[in-house]
Amino acid sequence: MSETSTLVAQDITHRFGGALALDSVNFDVRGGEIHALLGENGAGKSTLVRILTGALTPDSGLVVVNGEGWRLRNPRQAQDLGIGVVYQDFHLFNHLSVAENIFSSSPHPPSRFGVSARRDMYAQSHELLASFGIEVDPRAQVSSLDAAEKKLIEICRALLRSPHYLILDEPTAALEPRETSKLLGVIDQLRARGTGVILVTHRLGEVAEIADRATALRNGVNAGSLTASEFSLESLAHLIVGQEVLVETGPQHVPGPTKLKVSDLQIRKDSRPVEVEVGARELVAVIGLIGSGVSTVMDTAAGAIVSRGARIEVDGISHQFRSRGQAQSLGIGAVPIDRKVSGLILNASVAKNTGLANLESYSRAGFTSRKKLRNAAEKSKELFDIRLQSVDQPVRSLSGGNQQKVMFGRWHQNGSNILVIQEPSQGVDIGARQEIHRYLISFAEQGGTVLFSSSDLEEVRVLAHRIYVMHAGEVVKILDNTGEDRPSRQALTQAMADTNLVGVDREVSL
Amino acid sequence: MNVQNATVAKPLGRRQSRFTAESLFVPGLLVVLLVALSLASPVFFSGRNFGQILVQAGTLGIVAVGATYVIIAGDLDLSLGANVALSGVMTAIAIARWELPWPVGALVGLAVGLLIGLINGLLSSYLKVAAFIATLGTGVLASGIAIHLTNGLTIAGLPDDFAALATGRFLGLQGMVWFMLATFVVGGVVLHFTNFGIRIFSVGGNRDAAYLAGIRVSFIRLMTFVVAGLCGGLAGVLLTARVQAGQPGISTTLTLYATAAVILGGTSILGGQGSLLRTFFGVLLIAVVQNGLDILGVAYSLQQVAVGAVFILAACSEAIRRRR
Repeated sequence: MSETSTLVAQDITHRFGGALALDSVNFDVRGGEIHALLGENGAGKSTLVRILTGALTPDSGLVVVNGEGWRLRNPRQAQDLGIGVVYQDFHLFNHLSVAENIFSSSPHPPSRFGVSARRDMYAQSHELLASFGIEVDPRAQVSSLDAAEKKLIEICRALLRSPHYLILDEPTAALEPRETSKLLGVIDQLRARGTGVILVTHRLGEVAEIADRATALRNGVNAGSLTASEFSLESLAHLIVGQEVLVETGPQHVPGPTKLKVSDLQIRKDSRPVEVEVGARELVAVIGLIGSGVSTVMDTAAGAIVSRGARIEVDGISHQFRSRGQAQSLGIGAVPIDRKVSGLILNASVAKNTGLANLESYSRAGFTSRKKLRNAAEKSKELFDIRLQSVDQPVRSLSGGNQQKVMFGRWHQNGSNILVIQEPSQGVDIGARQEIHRYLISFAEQGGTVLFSSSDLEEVRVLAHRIYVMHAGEVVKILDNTGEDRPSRQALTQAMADTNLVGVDREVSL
Repeated sequence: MNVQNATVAKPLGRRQSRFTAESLFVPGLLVVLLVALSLASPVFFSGRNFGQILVQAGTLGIVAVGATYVIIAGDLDLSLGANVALSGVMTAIAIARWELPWPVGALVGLAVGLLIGLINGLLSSYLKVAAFIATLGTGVLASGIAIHLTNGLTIAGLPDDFAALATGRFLGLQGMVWFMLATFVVGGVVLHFTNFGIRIFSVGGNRDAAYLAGIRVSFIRLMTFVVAGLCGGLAGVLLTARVQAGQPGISTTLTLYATAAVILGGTSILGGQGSLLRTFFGVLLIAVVQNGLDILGVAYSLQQVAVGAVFILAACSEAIRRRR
């Protein structure tokens, strides 16, 4: 590669307050290459991304674009230099069409005499989408799309400026396994067209699958790089963590009799009712693609939604949940799919978030005892090794992993003996992930019941005794994950995507 | 653990201290105004006038307590002014026309306030009508009833001992002031030291998360409207006692001033954050501005301009500080 087609972050150092976020970090990507940027949460990845996109000006160091050094002052400057970015969270206008979204950040959307020309917009969008084999109607409203389609629309929007370099910040975080492969396909095409792609991700499988190089940051410094020939899950994990991550196995203990049972749950009009059973001391996973009904099963079991006709048995006694509070009184703790949206009160303190589910036990005659609340939070902090300065600090200020631990701490302090968890370790770094896994297994060993869903198949293989596979609103397979022939990730991926088992009326069209 | 330093939370520079620039802004502005007005007018700085300021703040303060509850829970009550009008008018009618003893008349006023709050709560939290719209509707309705019942005129002929409820003095302060202070104290204790209070903050901070934690979100929201309704009723009764007449026309500015006082104090319009102490300062600020301009002989219509200007100033300064 010639020096003229590279994007380089050169000797970048940046402090937030007194804390050194990046210390002489170097990173580069060439045109036509996919370079994965790895690291645990807090390692400095997002800071580096913000510096490369001009959202943050570093204390020292340069961004070198095609041999020319810059101190980027704002995102506009980075855009003009051909650096595009797609952030992790969705930034789309849900009530506008696909085409309107694609052109929403374009400086010159098609227009005639100053009036926006929809037809041209649709045509150009269609062309762009089709060139990547994305089958989405440019006229469709974005709110009707699934997560992968939305992510692709965001990428298309960035591509409209024809960037030489594209930074993708955890593009697959919210995607199901099969959607991920579609997205990776598009990224592969970008590389083929000569675009330099920086792929920020926690998912090592996709790094191994697609990246040319991988570089990890650790505590704000370069931790080293690997090239494709050296990739393996072990070597990548080692690169990130710095020491060998133990190869985890599934749960070793034997589960007890049925504790929680969901039955007669009809997800679609014509589908067979779903039935899911979890024993005491058992960890059960429910997996499936978007739209397969996994979240409905989980929300129903947790009492977070009321599913008409569904029966939930706890200890052999049948209930029809009317509210979340009812499920909670039966000892069911719930960890939602997005802790920030529906799990935690972000502005409230760690202590309040910990005690929120059973304020009665931290109070006298209705008056809350802050001391008791703090004690509960301190205990939870010890147990889960939550990194914080004070239990009075708002949950908002904690990292993702620590926020998730606060969620778990709440139900632990609450004495829940059944946990219904969606994505136990989403947006959580490797260290916190392992701690959460260890906790869940010991929770089950001590008699707890765990029903969880996860789009991270390695997590499913590590945690579950049994795996329910869902498709199109029905359970299509129940797999044993304890014996010699534990299903591989490939086997799980196939089971979820297998369309021969039942009549499938909705396909992810990409 | 093998990742000792990776997940340490970033130190949080701001929001740690109890007394931030944000929380001291309105009290500071208040002090500046007090000094300025004292210099501008010899009449202003006197115990008598301060007592007058508190009396003027009375109705607004009581209503603002209710508004704070609703706003922290993430809703908005636009019917508060009309509630004061209707519950006041009903109190006057009960005493003057139905010739009921005045304590019973006062209870009628409170009941009317409670009923309006209950309707607001049922509409917003159980029927899921946006609170903004539901309370706008009940407000217009209540205000219309108040005007219809009185033909738009005030109702006079109320007994003196009823008037004493608001104007009688105890330890040098009028009854109205004591009622306001009591409302703030009781309201503050409940809001900041009870489970109910924590749940209000939680519901306002994140409704879904509160529901997931087993909180009866709809009930909590309903209760904040009931609290607001009761505050409106109390303010209506006391206002009627103070001016010795039912006043059907009070509504609109009172709603706006109460909401302004809450926001001025620094309670977030988005819910989940705020305090009654802050609302208290917001109320005082508005009362001092009105009183000062009264003393300086500024027309009532211009006073409203001044209150609006102060409100915008405070809102801007807060927005600027937040941006840093």
